[in-house]
Amino acid sequence: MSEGAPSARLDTRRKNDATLSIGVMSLGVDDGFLDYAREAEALGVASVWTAEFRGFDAFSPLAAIAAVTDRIELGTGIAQIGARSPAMLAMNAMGVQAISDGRFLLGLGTSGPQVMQGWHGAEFSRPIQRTRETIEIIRLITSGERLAYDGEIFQLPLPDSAGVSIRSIASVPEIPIYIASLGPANLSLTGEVADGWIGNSFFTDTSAVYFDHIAAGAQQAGRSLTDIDLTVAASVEFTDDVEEAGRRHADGYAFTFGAMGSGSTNFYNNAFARQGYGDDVAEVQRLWREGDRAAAAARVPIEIGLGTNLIGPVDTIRDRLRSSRDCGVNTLRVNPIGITLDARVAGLGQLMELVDQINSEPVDDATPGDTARNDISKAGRSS
Amino acid sequence: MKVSISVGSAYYDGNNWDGLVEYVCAADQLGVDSVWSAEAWGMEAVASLGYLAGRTENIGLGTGIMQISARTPAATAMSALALDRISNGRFRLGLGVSGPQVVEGLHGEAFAKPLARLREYTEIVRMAINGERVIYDGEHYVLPRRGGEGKALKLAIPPNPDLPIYLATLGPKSLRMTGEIADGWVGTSLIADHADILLDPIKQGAESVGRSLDDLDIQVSSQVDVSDDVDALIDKYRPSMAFTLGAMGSANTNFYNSAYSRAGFGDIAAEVQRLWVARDKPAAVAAVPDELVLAAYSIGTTDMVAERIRALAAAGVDSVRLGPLGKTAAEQIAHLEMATDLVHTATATPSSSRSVSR
Repeated sequence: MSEGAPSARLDTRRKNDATLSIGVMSLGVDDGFLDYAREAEALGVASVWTAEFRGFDAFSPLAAIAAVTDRIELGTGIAQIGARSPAMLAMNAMGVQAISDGRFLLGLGTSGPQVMQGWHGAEFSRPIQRTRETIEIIRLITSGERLAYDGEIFQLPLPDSAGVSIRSIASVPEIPIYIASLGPANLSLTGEVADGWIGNSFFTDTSAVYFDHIAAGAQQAGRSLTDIDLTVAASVEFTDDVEEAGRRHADGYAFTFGAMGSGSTNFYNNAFARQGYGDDVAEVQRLWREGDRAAAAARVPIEIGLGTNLIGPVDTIRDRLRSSRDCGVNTLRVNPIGITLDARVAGLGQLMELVDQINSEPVDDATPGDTARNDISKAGRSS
Repeated sequence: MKVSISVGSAYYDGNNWDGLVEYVCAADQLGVDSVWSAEAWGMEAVASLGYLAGRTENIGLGTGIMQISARTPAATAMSALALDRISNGRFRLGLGVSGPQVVEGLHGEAFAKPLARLREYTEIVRMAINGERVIYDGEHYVLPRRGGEGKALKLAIPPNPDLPIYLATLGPKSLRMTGEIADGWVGTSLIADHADILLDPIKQGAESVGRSLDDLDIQVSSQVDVSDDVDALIDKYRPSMAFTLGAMGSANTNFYNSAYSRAGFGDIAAEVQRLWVARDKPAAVAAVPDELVLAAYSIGTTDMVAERIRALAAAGVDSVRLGPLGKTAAEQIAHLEMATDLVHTATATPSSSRSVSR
């Protein structure tokens, strides 16, 4: 591993906020996921991201992708905190980092209590403190320190045990850490301690709902928003029938609002409420719970489908890319465009052309946090 | 007899990684049965296999082992299924308890009752991999967690009930459990002349559930090293045995030490450990007798090694696990080629096994 290489890459990601990068969501471990990653790399895509739900883990597919690529960065988006010990998270990260020549990015998220307590049988209490301590432990281990930690949640070694304060035998890597956060306290933590943000449910015209908290956290740590690599998830769809596609994407949110989380804990609903859709989301959840899924889907405002994604003809997509860049987003993490590998590669190629176009334009001195208004979202805002 | 190789974990430090990949690709071509990664303090078993899956075609890929206290059972099932799919069904999940130093020191989990924890953990991993809804009320694991918002959940991807699970065990009770519930044994510290000490409990466990030893893939580590200068070889491996007896585990818990004790080397094992713990390493190394080194490793002249291999096969071992030997990938590959040939020839058929000598 060449020393300093990851750090140089990190600097590029952070400082070059005049340009927009594209990352792609990996295709799980379906047939073709390696080809897709290879094609994405050839098209100049900056990073590929895996997810973790109740299927494949987030690290193994990245290790496989590392074997067939040379430059593309490899991120977990996200690895579930609580599914492994903090030390194992560090070890997984160091493992992929060692075999990818420093291309790995560790994205962490808390998941939710249903999955954590149900599927993993793990504790979920105090998720933000748990995230903070997990990151501190990971950094202790990856910096080559002997592991001794006295936190509110984790004590290492376990007190009064045969545990030994151990130093990692691995060489010391740099592991950039990203946090997936939606709520104010977690966003603030992201600004305070993380190298990057894994965002979703994001509207460019209300970016301040997220960025103000990240900036406040960054400030506490003597940093600024531009020190954080800001990444946002979005679907891209080239179409002339904006109404149909927007409606379809909106319908898809009915599950998110109605079924995800429990009655008391749905991080997504809270995030949309903070962006002006509180009444809509509550109503969708109510309809879903009553069993009327069709009505729930129909009740999701089309502006949510259009505003959180990039949907429309080429010119619209170009405008949406520009507004993402201008509001301070560094990287868009995009879902596969289309069904077949050929279609996905073609769609990605088309997207990369547009990204190159806007990145070569002269830039206004827009600063992150500016509320560069987006016409589609604003025009249709119901509240 | 099959040959498998261990790539440890310290090896896949960035510096050695390319050479290691070359070594494993050569093993794939040589018809080696399987390659096994490991976990230690700072290195894990998953990343290397994910990478190697993309570079190899036939070789089995096993974790030897994943530490159970480091991941939830569901997380282990998720890694296992990912590696299984990436490798088109070549993955084998090896699980082990590790030791209290690592489990309590690094992972912050209690080590008590490792046997019961391993059984419950393996059962839950199997449920998850099989695609069953995970509901479990054990002494150590309760799913969903009591008093929370957890739902009883099952896999969101296709299951694989055929995914083999191996256990790394050494104590009599845990060996018996291996025979009961596992598809294979990741074995160490087996001396062919005393193999029954470790294999009988596995056999009894298998028979207690209507299976036999043949239903398990019995795999044992025993490095092959050939030279006519046998004394030099013994001296080369003596420190390794001293380390195993003295430094692995804590003074109270050293599974390897007790396994060798059960094989009749109790006084020696105790003395080596005493000297090692007293920080007199030279004396500890010197206290390891030639006889123990020759019994534990497959070293010596070609005939001696062939004899060791045949003894392991006769004792019921299906696969001998070798480590890389040599500084460069080229040296390691040359050694592997020689060792694979020797093992296969020595155990191919009764007639060819008698004719092995060079």
